[in-house]
Amino acid sequence: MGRLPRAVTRAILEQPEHLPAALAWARRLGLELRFDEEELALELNLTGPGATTEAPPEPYRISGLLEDFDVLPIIWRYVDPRSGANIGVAAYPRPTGSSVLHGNGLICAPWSRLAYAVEGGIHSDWQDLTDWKTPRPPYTFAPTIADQLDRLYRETRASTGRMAALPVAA
Amino acid sequence: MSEEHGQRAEKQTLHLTVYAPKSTEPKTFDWSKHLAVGEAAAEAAAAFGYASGTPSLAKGDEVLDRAKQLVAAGVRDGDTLTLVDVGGGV
Repeated sequence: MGRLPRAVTRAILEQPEHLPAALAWARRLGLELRFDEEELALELNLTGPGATTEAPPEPYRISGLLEDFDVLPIIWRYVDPRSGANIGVAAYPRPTGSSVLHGNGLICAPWSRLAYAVEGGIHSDWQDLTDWKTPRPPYTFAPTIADQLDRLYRETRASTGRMAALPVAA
Repeated sequence: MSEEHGQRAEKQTLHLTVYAPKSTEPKTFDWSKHLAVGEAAAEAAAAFGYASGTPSLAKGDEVLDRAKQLVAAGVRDGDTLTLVDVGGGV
């Protein structure tokens, strides 16, 4: 059960800088951002490079659960691009440079709810989930859905293959 | 100012369109081609209402080096850029 009534979350999402901006951002890039209003969930399919120049491109899917947004940060995950299932590190692109993609299969940024230790993440130094929009230099600052998606999009495009092979489909 | 001098001065300025993820509409800027990417990005970030962060600019998929001058980073007159934040994670 969330902290915010879903109607309140939907009203927040309708603000110009949130869902409308995210949908416009996706259109500019030729991407299909899907929003499930009932489930308060987002999905975005992306393609990243293969592990080598000869390898085929890798498919990815990003899932965002928006319950309690924007009091709490979004639950962002890379999931199985075929089924949407949680499959851990195999769902994640292998990062290059300064990255929010943690080797444990986690989006590790102040705007990612699962990065916080209270949600099972690695950051015990980030205490208050409701403080997620406060800048924490030198960490990434991405106060809107589109800013967060843009960061994940760019990291995926700059990746070097996936962290682990996709499991055999059931 | 002579026409020739005006044209020389004009060539020092880049007319650029910048999108920010949080906004559905772009903004235009006229920047010296010698302005640092980071300084230009900071001006754009402020114009779009970003309160903090480590802003830079991206041209297509390429995130530009904040320390370089716009022209050295490959920015040309008429380009469309995207405002990005290059703060770290993990």
